[in-house]
Amino acid sequence: MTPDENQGPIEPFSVPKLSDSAEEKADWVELYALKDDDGNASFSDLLTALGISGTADAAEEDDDDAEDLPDEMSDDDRYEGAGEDAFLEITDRLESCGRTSAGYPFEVAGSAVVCRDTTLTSVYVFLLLLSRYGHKAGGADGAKIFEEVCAKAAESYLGALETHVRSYVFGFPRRIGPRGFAKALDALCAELGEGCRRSGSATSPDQKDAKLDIVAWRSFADRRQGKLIAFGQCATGADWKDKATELIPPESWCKLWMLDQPAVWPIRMFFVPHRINGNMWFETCVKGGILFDRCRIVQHSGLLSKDLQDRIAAWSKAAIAKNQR
Amino acid sequence: MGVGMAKKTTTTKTPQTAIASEPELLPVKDLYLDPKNPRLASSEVTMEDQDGILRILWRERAVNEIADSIAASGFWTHEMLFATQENGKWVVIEGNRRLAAVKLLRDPALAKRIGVASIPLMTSVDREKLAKLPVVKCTRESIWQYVGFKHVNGPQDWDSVAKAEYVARLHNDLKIDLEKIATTIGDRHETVKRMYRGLMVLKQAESEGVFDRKNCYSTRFAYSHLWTGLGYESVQEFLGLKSSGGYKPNPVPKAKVSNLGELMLWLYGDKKAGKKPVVRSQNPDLRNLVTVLRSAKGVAALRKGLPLTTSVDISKGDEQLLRESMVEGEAALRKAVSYVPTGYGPSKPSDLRDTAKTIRKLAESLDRAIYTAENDDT
Repeated sequence: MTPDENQGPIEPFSVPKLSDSAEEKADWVELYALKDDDGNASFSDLLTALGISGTADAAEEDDDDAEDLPDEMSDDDRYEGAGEDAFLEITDRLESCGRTSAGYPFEVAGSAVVCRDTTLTSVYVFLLLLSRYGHKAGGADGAKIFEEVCAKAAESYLGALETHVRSYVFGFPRRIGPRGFAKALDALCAELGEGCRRSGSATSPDQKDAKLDIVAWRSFADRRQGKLIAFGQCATGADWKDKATELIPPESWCKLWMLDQPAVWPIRMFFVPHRINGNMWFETCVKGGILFDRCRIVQHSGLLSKDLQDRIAAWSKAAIAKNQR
Repeated sequence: MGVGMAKKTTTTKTPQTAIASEPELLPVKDLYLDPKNPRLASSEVTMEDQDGILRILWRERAVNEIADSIAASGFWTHEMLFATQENGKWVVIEGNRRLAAVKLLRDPALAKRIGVASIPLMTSVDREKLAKLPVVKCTRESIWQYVGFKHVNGPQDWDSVAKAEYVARLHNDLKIDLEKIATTIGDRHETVKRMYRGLMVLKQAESEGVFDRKNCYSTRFAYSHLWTGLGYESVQEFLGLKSSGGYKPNPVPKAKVSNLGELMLWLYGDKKAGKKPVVRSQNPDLRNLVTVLRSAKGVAALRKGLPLTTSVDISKGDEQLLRESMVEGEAALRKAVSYVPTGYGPSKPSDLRDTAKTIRKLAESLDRAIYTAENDDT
């Protein structure tokens, strides 16, 4: 993932609209809680904001089937329905992050979302801010931190708590390891214990990472070939849908860039800091591989080092200071 | 909104008498938040748990906005509170959020105890100005028109479950006719009746043991899904409400109670059983559920646990699906043809030509299949 690509924020913090998705409204509720002095955002706050935006008319114009709605459905009814959708999405987030200490960082009390002491420094909030404000919101290194978090999530998913699971951040520019594509691929193959770089493969100056951001694998004690390998791509911006197919199929990638290929073709993973609507989930998995959205990443964020956690906290604090106050 | 507006909309003598009463200044310390406030309908709070009521109002009912306003502009004395005396205590039945704001503004220790950090700081002089508030002494029965106008159909909306609870209390406890409630508060859209029906259906589901609000999948009980859904004929028919209308307690016939349980499961899920609701949004999910309920095949599909979208297709039937698919296909092809002159040319990728060939083959295949089906009986 190259930070100079078009990865701007989806939308700055603003009044929510009725036509926004449940995911966007739920994001607004969480961001409002982060902004509120008491760390509190309620159903009433959301309805008030929807009312202020006054977008019911516009939503109705966009709604081809509006005539099918029961008679006399008022704007307030529509706002309330939209609010319910948002709070159902929040419940989903609570469940999807897993009931762990690293899980959903907000307390959900009835019709309100309340910050805890640890909310601001959580992985979830980092991903929320990254999703809404873009990778530069809290400093230049948002995209790189995201790749590191994703690499650890992939490790966790592959069972890192047992043994022999590793990951490698290949995305350009590389914080660790060789900067050039050829040397970085050599280093990756050495770590992986499979494949080696195709001798004489053409590498252009803008080769960077050939769209491969992270690699994770689960090997055996014998360190022989033939294991589960995952090629992952990360996308933080509003154009994440286009990114799902940017990484060419792993077997093509290996044939193109490696002299000896892995014995078993890698699987694909796709990482985004957003919440993906259920209607788009299947399609995104088909295009991008195993999808790690915000909540799945949080569910598998138990392996982060203290250093990485500190950088996440610092980035989030800077992003909030810049965008929310 | 001033009191005068309520006078214009009320026609009976009782509220005019109550509202015409002169407000008295009562000490804030002697005023109690009302546990029967319809906004608290889904919370289990008692008169003794004043801190609990305060906490809920602060967290969930945007009292902070009112506190900010009072701190900046003072308490608007024309916006008097209405209180009734119950068990020797003055219980505020209209103006609970304002009373909550004033209590918190006046007492930083209370604010701290409730967990409120952002209450505006006031000087002791300004705090003292809030020591007493204008209160109209009344009974719950005497101001229902005013409260109903203000919160059910007026400028300070409650959410739908609070409105429904209030209407149900008026109708069931005070025996006020639903039509009269609607007329009095200026409801021209049958909202009062529909909300009442929704609440009666909900209460019946709970009393029959086919639904438990605490077991909803979502942390919030989305009452609006139920009362909105009940506005559709197919839902009414599924619950056996079509002939009676359902505007009474226990409106669902015994024979349809199991259907009621299913409807509630599809609307709200079951946390204990780990079942998510089928309806995730009023649009399009609630509408899709309504479509499914029109067809026995669709209902059977949903009962088998098939996804809502699949159940919708099943309920529509192959004939309608064929028609929809062909109409959509024709529209898409017409659109594609219109883009060819400006969107395709000699230097463009040839995969579009391959796609065009595939479409032609599919169209021919469809034509043959339809011809064969037409002549199947001959």
